Amino acid sequence: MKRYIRLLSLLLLLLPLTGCWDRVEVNDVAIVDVVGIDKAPNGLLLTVSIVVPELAAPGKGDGAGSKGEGATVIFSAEGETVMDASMQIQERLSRQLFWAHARALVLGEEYARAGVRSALDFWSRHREPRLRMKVAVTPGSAREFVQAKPALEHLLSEAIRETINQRLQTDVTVKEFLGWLRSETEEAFAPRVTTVRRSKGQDALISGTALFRDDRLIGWLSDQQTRGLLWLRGEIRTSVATIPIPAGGSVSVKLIRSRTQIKPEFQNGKLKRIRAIVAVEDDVYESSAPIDLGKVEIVQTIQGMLAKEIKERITLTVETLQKQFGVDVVEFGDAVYRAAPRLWEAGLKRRWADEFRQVPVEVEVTARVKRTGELAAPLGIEEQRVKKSPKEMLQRKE
Amino acid sequence: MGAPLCIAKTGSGDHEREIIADWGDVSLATNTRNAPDQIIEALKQEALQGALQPNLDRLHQLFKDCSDVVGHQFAPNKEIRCCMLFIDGLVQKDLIARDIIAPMLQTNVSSDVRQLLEEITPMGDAKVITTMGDVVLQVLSGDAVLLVDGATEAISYGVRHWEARSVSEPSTETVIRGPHEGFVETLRFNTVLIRRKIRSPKLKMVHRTIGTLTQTSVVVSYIEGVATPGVVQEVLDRLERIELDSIDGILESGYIEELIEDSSFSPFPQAQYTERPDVVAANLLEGRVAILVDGTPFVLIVPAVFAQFMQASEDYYIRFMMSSAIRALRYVFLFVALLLPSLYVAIVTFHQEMLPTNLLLSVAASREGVPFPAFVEAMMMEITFEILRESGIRLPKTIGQAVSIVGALVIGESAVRAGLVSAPLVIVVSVTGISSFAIPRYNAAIAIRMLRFPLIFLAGFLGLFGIVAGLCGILIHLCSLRSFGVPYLTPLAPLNWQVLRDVFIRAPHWWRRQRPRLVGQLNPIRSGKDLKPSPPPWRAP
Repeated sequence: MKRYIRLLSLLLLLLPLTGCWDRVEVNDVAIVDVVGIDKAPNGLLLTVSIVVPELAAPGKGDGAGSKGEGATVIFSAEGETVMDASMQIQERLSRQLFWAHARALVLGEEYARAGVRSALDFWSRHREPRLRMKVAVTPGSAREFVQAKPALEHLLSEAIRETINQRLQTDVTVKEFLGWLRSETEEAFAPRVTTVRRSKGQDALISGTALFRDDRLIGWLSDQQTRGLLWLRGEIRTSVATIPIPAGGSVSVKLIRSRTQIKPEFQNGKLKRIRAIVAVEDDVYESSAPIDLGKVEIVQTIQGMLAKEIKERITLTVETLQKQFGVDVVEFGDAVYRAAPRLWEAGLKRRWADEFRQVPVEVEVTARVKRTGELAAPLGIEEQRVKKSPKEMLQRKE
Repeated sequence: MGAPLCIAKTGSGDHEREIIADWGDVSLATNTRNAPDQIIEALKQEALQGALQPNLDRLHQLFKDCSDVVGHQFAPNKEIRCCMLFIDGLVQKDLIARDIIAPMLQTNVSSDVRQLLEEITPMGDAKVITTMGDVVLQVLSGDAVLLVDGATEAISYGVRHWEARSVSEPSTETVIRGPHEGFVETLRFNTVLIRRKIRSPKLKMVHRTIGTLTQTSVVVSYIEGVATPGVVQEVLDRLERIELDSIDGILESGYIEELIEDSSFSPFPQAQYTERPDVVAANLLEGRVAILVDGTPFVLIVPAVFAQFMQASEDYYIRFMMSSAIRALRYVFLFVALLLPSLYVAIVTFHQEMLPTNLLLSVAASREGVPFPAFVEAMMMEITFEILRESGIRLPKTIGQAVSIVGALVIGESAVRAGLVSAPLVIVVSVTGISSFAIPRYNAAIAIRMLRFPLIFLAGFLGLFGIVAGLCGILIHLCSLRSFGVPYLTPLAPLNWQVLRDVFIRAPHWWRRQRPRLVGQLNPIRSGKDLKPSPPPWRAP
């Protein structure tokens, strides 16, 4: 028994010997919120916004740190690498830089055009930052963007994250971005982020997409084109299409669910074409047209118009990607590889950059409008004026 | 009625001195053996004398200065004198007068005590005794002993009656639905409460007397054919070990618990205790053994496994869905009570990346300006909580309220205002405290509460790694623990699906047909197959 007690007390003594060597209290860390990287003459300019907990904590937003005035302190430093620059910032800080809660990485346009690989190594190697961080590219200076004081959220990262989570634009994490950089055939992209001025403070605005070839920014997709990219990638979650009706007024439909299939077709050991098959299901949310939505033929006609509308959006994006930029951000290459891995390895992979530019892409959209609402025709339209057949509906209002 | 023994006639001086010498020898002998004195055992070797006077002399010597012992001498006829010996207050004096002394005075009594007992004073709970030790023991137990001149035997009449607490609702185990009766301090009442629930000759109650001075009655109760004979034998053997190794007194079943448990150095209780007869009956039906001790309302139940401490008697009385949900929730509470403060310390000091960002920000904001590391802060608050809890138990109910108000206000509100502790920690400590009260068995709950201190310590030095190490240690200990040979973690380890129906959930009675394996394996089936009720085949008109 005595032996055990002695042994136990020796073991207990071992505990304090560790001396809590990596103990850091929460009030001794500087929580990094948003990271911005810009180009500097020799290397890069790192900008971090560091949260002041008292100002940012939910429920404590009274007084000085209310919305639109910012709850962060901005630090910038130049360095050869991110680590180098971060040490320069650390020298000016009373607390230890803590990367684990940084939620957004914003790359400045100039830096992105010069190549981002060197900076991103930090995110693949350092232990603290998360791979789930969002990546965005800002036209102009990332440093200026990081200084934005959001009007609606407490923190800028929250504003970026929540805006991206609306899924109206592309959503890219560091993990995905690194994966694309690693891949030989797929190319990287990231949402384009700017600030908009509000009556008090600024908010993040996500619109458009930055396209990369290898690790260099080569151009931008517009807002419209980005929607097409989302359709192609099957990532679209929210979409409202408004279809003008020749007989007058228009019908607004909202996306319920959609499914995108990329089907490559081969002929004589060669890639013949790529079919992008999109099946969407929509509901009518608003109608100002004098038509009877209770009639099957009318709904079928609307379905056809909707499919055409979506097809146009997608085709526009495919053409821009193939003709203007020639970067496969849709991951057509991946679909080809999965359909014919031997062909892919045999040569398609090597000449994919050219192949992607040339391959005919056929966009096929089937749309279904399922629920039209309680009312067949809008209120306040006389019964005899309501069009009850597609023919009447398609006649232009005189 | 009667007169104290001290005024009875004393014997000659020589005799008295002789007795004193004897007496001295006995006590001296026991002292040199370095064991508690065995007066009764020694006296049991001493036969009663054939005459009344020497016996009275001897008794007078033994009960010297015992003012509560009464020796009532009377003479039914000219030749024979008798003495009724009892302890004032422990017997029904009117019963003695009516059923023993009055019949004797009306008939011709001889010195044949067996005839006297059978023909003149028949009584249910009476027996003939022959040694001085028995006389002393019976008197002290509350019986009236009749010594008759010229007889070498005496009669002990069971006329015990004393003021006792009546059967009332147990304050430690209250229920909303279920019987409101609880055990009391009197052993006989307690056996009755069990017997009334299980009316079967298979319910056995083995009597033992333990404690050289207290001579406490202990009853081992079990159901023959359900309880494993090996376990019953083990219980009796362990009780006998206490008897043989002689302890001076047993005042509460806690003494027995500590003297018969498998592993002394374990924070976990290896015997369940209860104040409720229905709990005892249910456990007897599962094949367990109950140990009743005179002088305490707490009955021990062995063997006890960990799952038992998470079961409340009410679980079996309310609808099974509700009790299953509540029971599952209790296991959540168990882990909250054990782990929450240490997780807080570990995450706040070592693993800040594990919190959601917004939560981290509010924790960080509230910790701004707190002068202590999270470990010290948590220890301080947990100890304060234990102080409040402990003082609340000891204090009278009215003052206890004041303490809880002071505790809630001063510790909770003021400490946060003063910036001594952070607000999240106050929440952590109070949630932990409340969770620990949700564990139905107090002795298990207190084990969990105490174990969280070493865990906080480990968390403060080693973070989550320390918590995991501590949990592994606890798990290894639980796996190696046995209660009367039954693994403590059954039916989890060793795994038994049948019995698991009564662990994380409470299966309906018609589905819970088997007794727990390892305690009831002798007769595992407890009910028929078709117990599940269903609507009748006909339709109501």
